[in-house]
Amino acid sequence: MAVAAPQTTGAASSTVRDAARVALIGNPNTGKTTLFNRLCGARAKTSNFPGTTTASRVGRAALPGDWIAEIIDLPGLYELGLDVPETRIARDVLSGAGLYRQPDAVLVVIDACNLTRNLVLVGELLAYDLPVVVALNMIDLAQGRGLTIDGQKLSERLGCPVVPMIARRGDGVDEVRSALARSLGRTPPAQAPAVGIPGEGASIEVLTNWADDVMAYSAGRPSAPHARDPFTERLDGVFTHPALGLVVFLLVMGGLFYTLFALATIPMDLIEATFARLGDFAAQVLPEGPVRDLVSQGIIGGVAGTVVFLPQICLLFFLISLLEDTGYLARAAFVMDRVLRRFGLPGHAFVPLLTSSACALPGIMSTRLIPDRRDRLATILVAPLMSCSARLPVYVLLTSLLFPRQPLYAAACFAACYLLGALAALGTATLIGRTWLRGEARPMVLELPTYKWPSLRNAVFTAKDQGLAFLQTAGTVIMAICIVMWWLSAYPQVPPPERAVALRAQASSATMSDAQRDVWLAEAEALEVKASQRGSFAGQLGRLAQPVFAPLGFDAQLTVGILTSFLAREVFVSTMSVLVGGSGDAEVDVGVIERIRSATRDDGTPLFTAATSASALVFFVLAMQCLPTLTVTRRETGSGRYAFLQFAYMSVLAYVAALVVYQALRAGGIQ
Amino acid sequence: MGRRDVDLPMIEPPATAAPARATTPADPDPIPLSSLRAGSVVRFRGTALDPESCDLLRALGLTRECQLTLCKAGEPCIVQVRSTRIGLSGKVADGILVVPDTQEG
Repeated sequence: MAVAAPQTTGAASSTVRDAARVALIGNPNTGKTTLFNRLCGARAKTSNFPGTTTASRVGRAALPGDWIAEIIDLPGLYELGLDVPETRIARDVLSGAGLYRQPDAVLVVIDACNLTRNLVLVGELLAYDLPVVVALNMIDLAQGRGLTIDGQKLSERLGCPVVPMIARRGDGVDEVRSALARSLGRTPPAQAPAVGIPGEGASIEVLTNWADDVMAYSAGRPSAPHARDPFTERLDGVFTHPALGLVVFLLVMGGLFYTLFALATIPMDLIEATFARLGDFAAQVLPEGPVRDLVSQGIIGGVAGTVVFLPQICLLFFLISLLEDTGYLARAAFVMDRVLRRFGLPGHAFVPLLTSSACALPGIMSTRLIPDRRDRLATILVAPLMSCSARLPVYVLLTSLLFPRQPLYAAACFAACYLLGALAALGTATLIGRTWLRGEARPMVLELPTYKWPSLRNAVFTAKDQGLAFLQTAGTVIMAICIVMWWLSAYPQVPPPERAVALRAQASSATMSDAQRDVWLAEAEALEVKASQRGSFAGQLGRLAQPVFAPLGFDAQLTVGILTSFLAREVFVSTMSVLVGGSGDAEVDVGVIERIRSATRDDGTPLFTAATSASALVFFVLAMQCLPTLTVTRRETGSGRYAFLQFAYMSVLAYVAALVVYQALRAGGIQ
Repeated sequence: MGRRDVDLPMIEPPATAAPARATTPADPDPIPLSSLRAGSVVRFRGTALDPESCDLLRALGLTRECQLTLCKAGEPCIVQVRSTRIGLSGKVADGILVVPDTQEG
């Protein structure tokens, strides 16, 4: 299938087979990632290009003649002259500037259906004086449109090997390997070099005219702008229709999130149960002391707190990859662009915002779909305001406290929390667009890729890569934070209160029923945990910070609950349960709610009045109480400044809103 | 005013990059792409857009005097340039200036 192609210049074939470096490059939507996965399999490593937040994938491919090639997957780009970060990276890699080692060859993937536009990039690459191999992909789709490209003629005009292929099916991959090996071997040229290739620095107009000429020579006819595909026209008519498009979008997104919620909970529950057992096991086998506590609670708890996010992240990226492959996402971006543009966000922001309703971590990671940096930053900064699943137990607790035995009001209040979060996100996006990130979202200009069947293989590799990237970067920091927070809430250890000691002594006497003994032991344990919480650094910090939260109606106990939940919001329920004398079970059952409702402050007044509950609810809707999210924000923006900004404005917004609610309710006579 | 709110001057290649085909005194005035109906075949003359959008359009194949077909009017507007289908928001379609293609067919 490979076309016998002119070879690059002359050094004799080396007998030493060091790993050669090959840059893989191409326009977006040409099947570049599919070819990378075919060449390198599952062994690729994902990281960022040095000093940037642009993802880089590097893999190793075995080539004929004992060659091992290190393949660098460069970002998809249309031309090398564009002044965008992705293009700058590609130029630096190709020229070996800065930290990069110049590649030994370039493998460029081009779309046979879009030959002229893809050849512009090839024309630019040929000016780099590097061996180039062209992978002419999707020839089946081109032939389906009545376009037959003569690979031999194309190779003649380009002066480099051209391999017709169908990367999705794996057709032509072996020929690509062979062509790469020949180029790396630098065997003598088989024919005269091509003439008429635009030189370095040629304008886009010159390159396009040249590409048109090459297209006409290779395909026997020029590009035909009138040749429209009726199938694509019909689908575009539906998917981008103002009303129908929105209905389809809601159905697709509903399906995506139902799948995400329904499927991710199974491995998440399994992970939590496994780590809980592992913690119990460690507690049983290790001798009592600080090391046992560190391993069983700090380290195992920290690892669990990281790994538990993996199913959602992997599954989300798997599903997004499938959708993106079909070509639908580009159309959906236009549907949402009409709505989100009014708030200074691009249409692309819908996936991150919706995903953040499940969890802000994958939501922020999925902002990589947004091409413009300003739009991407704006989306990252507001995404955590969408109500995530971690807020659910807190909403359940506080709405139940606010509206006891009034399920309809409680449900309405629950829905209002989601609405408040969404409105706050959109309002903040508008504000950010007028202050920190001045300007509107960039007007959308997007290539609408060819509709095609998605690649399961690509989706699996994408999910794996994103999961590993999360574990390697954010995961390590999250685990460290979990351990520190555990230490703050567990130390210094305080002696058990006298009442707890007395209860344990009573429980050890033999003259009572097992039921009574269990009650006393449970009460003793609750008193010990409560004393431990109060005496810990976190508890001391809570008492120290209480005056700050007093205008919001929070006492020292509630302040401890708020502070500990900065690790993760859901911790609030278990902390409050412990502080008011229950167990640390995070499940929100009726017993927990009743116990918290009847809890009192040091002066004997109720801990949760209506005004306090409403104030706490508003605080939790708006506050940034998720350290893992801040870690991911820092990683995705490449700067701690944005994470700090996110934390600061969300905390201030939450504080002010809660203050207004509490003071207004008090002024209205509601305690 | 944000960076994209500015009324930018029309960005065109320099005069030396004149269209290949001869222009005549009767050459029609450029009109916004958004004013045309679906199915129109036109030639691209220039833009009144921000530089980033301009560069992206050029990279996608909208070079001076290229032929394009309006596949769908409205929001979004869909055009075909050679074999590439490009979706454009209404604001971008307003800023793309074209002339009817007299060589059509």
